[in-house]
Amino acid sequence: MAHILIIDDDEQFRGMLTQMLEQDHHRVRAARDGDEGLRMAGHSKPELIITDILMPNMDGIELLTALARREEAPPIIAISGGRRSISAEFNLESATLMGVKATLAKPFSREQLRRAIDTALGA
Amino acid sequence: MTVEPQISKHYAGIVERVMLAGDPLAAEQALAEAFELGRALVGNDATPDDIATLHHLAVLRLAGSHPGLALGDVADRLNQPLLELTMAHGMAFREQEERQAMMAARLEQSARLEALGTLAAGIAHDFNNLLGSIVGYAEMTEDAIAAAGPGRENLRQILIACGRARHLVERMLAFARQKPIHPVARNLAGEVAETLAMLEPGLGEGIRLEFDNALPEVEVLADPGQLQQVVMNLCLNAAEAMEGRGHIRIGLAPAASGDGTPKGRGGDARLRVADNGPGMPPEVRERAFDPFFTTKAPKGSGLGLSITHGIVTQLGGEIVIASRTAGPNTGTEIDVYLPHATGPETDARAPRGE
Repeated sequence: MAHILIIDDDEQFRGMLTQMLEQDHHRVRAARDGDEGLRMAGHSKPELIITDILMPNMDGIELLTALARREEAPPIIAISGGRRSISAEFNLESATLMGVKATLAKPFSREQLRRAIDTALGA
Repeated sequence: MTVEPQISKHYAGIVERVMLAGDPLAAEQALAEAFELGRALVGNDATPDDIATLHHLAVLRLAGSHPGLALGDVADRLNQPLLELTMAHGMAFREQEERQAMMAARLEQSARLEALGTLAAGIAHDFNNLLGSIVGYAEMTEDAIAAAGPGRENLRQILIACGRARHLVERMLAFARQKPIHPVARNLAGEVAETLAMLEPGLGEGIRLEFDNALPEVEVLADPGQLQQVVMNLCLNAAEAMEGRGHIRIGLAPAASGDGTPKGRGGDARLRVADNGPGMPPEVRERAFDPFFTTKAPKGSGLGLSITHGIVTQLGGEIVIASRTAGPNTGTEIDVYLPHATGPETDARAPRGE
C-alpha cells in the first residue's frame, strides 16, 4: 500500500489506472499533465509516481528532469505509448538515467503493473 | 529551340554524304550517324519542327554547294537522313517521357509512403493509449467476475482481441520505420539461405524453392532480421499468389547496368524473387507497396510489401516489380537492389526520426 501519484493526459486511462491501483489498496491521486503533476508532487509527497512520458504541454522527460532536481524525489514508473516507437525508446533510456525505476509500455497487464510497482518500491 | 550551327553543319555533312555516296555501305554509315544525331537532339529539346528546319537547311546548303546536282536524280535518297533523324528522335523522346513518368510515379509513391508512415506512427501511439484503457478495464472486470461467472469467456475474447490489436500496432510501427536501426555488414547469401531453410517447411508441399546464388561473398549493411523479413515477405507473397502450388526462384546476382532503375546501375546486389503464379495486373502492381492494400482480404493485412519497401528504402536500396499478365502463369518477378557494404557502419543511411 503506497501513496501513488498518476500523471497521464488520457482521462480514461487515468480513471482506469486509479481504479486498478485503488483495488490493490493504494492511495491514489491523479494529474492530467506535467505542470499539475509537479504541483501535486510538491503538495502531497507521493511515495511513487507513475507517469506517461509523451504528453502535450510538459513532456515527460521535462517532468522527470524537474522532479530529479528536487530533494527526496520519489521512485518513478515511466509509461510509454509504444514499445517500438523511436522517441519512446530514446525517452525510456534517458528516463532510466534520471532514476526511473521501472517502465511499462501501453497496453500492459495488471500483473505487469504490480511487478513494476514492486520493483520501483524495492519490495 | 534554335539548332546550334555546329549541329546544322554536322547534319548537312551527313546529308551530303548520303546523297553523294558512291557505295551503299558509305551511305549506311552516314545514315547511322543521322540516327545517333536524332537521339542526341532530344537532349537539346528539339521539336519535330526544328528537325524539319534542320533538314530543309541542309538540303538548301547542298543545292548551293553542288549547283550541278539535280535533286530530282537523288530524290530517293533525299528523305532517308530525315527519316532516320525523325525516327531516332521520336524513339528517344518517348523513352525520355517514360523515364520521367516513372521517376514522377516513384517520387509520388515515396512521398505517399512517407506521409502514411508518419500517420501510422501517430495512430499507433494513440491506439496503444486506447488499448491501455481497454485492457485495464477488461482485466479489472475479469477479476470482478467469479471464475465460472457469465461473461467471463467474453472478457477473455476481448483480451485476446486486444493482444491481436497490439500486434497490429507493432507492425504499423515497424512499417513507419520508427525502430532504430543498428546496421552491420551481413553476408547476403547466408541470410537468404538461412531464411529459405526456415521458410520452406511452412510453405507446404506444393511450393518448390530454388536458390540460384551467384554472389556468395557479398555483404550488405542491415539490421538483424531485416534481410530475413524482406526475403520472407517476398516468398510468402509469391506462395500466396500461387495458391500453394508452384515454383519460386530466388536469385542473387550483380545488378546489370541495363536494369533500368537508378539503383540498378551495376555494383549493387540484386535479389530476385520470381514465381510462376498468375502475375499482377497493372492496377495491382501500381498499388502493391501501398500500406493496407491487399488482394487477400480478409486474410492479408496489406502490410507485407509496404514493410518490405520500407526496409529496402531504409537500407538505401530499391525494389521494383516486374509482372506480366500476357499469358497464364507468366508470374511475378520482384527485384530488390541493395548497395554493397563498403565503408564502416556509418555508411548506412541514417534512420528517420520522428
